[in-house]
Amino acid sequence: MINKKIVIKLVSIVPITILYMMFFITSSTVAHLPLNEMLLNEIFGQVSIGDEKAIVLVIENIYYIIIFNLLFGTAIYHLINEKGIYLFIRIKDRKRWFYKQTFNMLGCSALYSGFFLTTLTIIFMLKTNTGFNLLTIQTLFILWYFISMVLSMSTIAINLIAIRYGSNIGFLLVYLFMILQLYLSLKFDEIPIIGDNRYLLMLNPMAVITIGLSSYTFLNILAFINLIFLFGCLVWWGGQYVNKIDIGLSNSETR
Amino acid sequence: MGLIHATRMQISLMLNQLNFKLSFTIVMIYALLTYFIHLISYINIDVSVMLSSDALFIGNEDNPLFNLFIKVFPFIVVFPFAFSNILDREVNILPLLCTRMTKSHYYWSKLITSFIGGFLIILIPFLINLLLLKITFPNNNNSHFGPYNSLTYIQDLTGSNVYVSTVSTGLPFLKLYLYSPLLYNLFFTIMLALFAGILSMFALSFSLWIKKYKVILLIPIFLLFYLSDIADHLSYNLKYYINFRLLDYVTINTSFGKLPWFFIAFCLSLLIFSVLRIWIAIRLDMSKGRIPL
Repeated sequence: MINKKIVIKLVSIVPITILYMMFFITSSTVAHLPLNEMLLNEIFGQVSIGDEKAIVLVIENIYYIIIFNLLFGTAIYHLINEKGIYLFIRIKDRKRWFYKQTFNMLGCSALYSGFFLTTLTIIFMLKTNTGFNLLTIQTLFILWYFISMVLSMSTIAINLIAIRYGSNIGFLLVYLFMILQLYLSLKFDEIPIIGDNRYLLMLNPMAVITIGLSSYTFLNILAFINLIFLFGCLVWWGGQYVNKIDIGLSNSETR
Repeated sequence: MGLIHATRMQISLMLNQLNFKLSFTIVMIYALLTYFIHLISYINIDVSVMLSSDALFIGNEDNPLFNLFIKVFPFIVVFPFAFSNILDREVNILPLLCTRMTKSHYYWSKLITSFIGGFLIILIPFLINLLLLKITFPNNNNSHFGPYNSLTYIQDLTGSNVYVSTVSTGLPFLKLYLYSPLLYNLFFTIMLALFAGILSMFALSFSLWIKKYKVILLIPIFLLFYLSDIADHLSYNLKYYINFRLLDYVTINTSFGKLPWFFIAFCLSLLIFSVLRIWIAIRLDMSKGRIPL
């Protein structure tokens, strides 16, 4: 169910991205990098593991994740907190209701990341002399999938923690978790014993896509499946949790 | 109930809240984890090549987890007590508290407690880290600046290796550092704790505007840090570079171009803003003849 408020929230990333990229837009230099590489460099950093290279989100550039978390981080929580009693005396299956909310969230994150990537692509197209090709479309699709999944997972996690401990603590814990994962991704090859095992890096949702974007490898497929698996686990656990909470007792914000 | 009693009551409330416990725990984990990383990294290494305990201090920018800490710092300082006013309004306890301790005592005690909360979450873990390092590691002259009196040591300390025109060069409070690196560490720990306290006060005064969605309270301080970073980037185009990165002024690092007056003015403006906001809140509430809800 998309209403006007949600549309404004989703579109808000466009002016924010333009503002964030203002230095780049106003600079007089023309980039000679291909469009797909510019997108990757803007959003990701690279980690070398032996001969392979993996890409991870860079801490400096996760502003779009933080904004999405702030905008939607309490959506499900507020429904449960404020309308939970009215909702759950009518809805028989809480789990199904929660699954529906999470898929709404996934839809919102897909639209949001779509707006974000479109804005970035347009900005880069204005500043580069290289064209739009098949590789760019492929890169955009992979980025869109990756960002949508990370956004929805982090936001659902904040909502679930918020139900128990309050929204501020939910936000801080998820933010800390993301920062730690990013840090571990960037320093992965320095970790003794496991640092050479690229499959273990794939378990980290912040570092799941390998640099071989032009050809599908086993790692690419594994990364895609891994994200779906993590999302599925989170939604399943969330369903179990929402099913069990005592809505009559809780206003966790003011505990 | 006097202001001291009101503040004691607020401190007691803060110490029992999850927000304070969480932020304190995060800084404590940072302090202990950094210590254990140093312990592990110096296994089987000769004591003569170990870095000095003062150089391994967590307030130093060369520490392995320092970059993580500065990313989390703008969020942590909001947590100790800044949400308390919103909570009081949500549970409708504000009229009860105000009738017990008067509105002005209520607001001033909130502000003081908020400062104490921000101060404590930094001070105690940092001091524990310093103590552990002093017990475990040698007190030699191996610092991050290189061996004592070597060329790199002197260059870093005096700032003669800087290639950009800056307003100032060299290590701030150099005489204190040369006199005692331990005192230097203590001095910067107190500076960082004071800064955290002031930011915490600022967050609390900002919270008086927020009626709903308390997560919004995390934005102002994050924005302050973000804007200071942008100002720092822009500053490279000036005739003389000025360092606008806020945490560079209260941590131990060799970054150049620090303008102490900028930082003092910044902290004072935050302080004045917080005090004025509270004063206006009290005056407005009194003039309207009602307790704010």
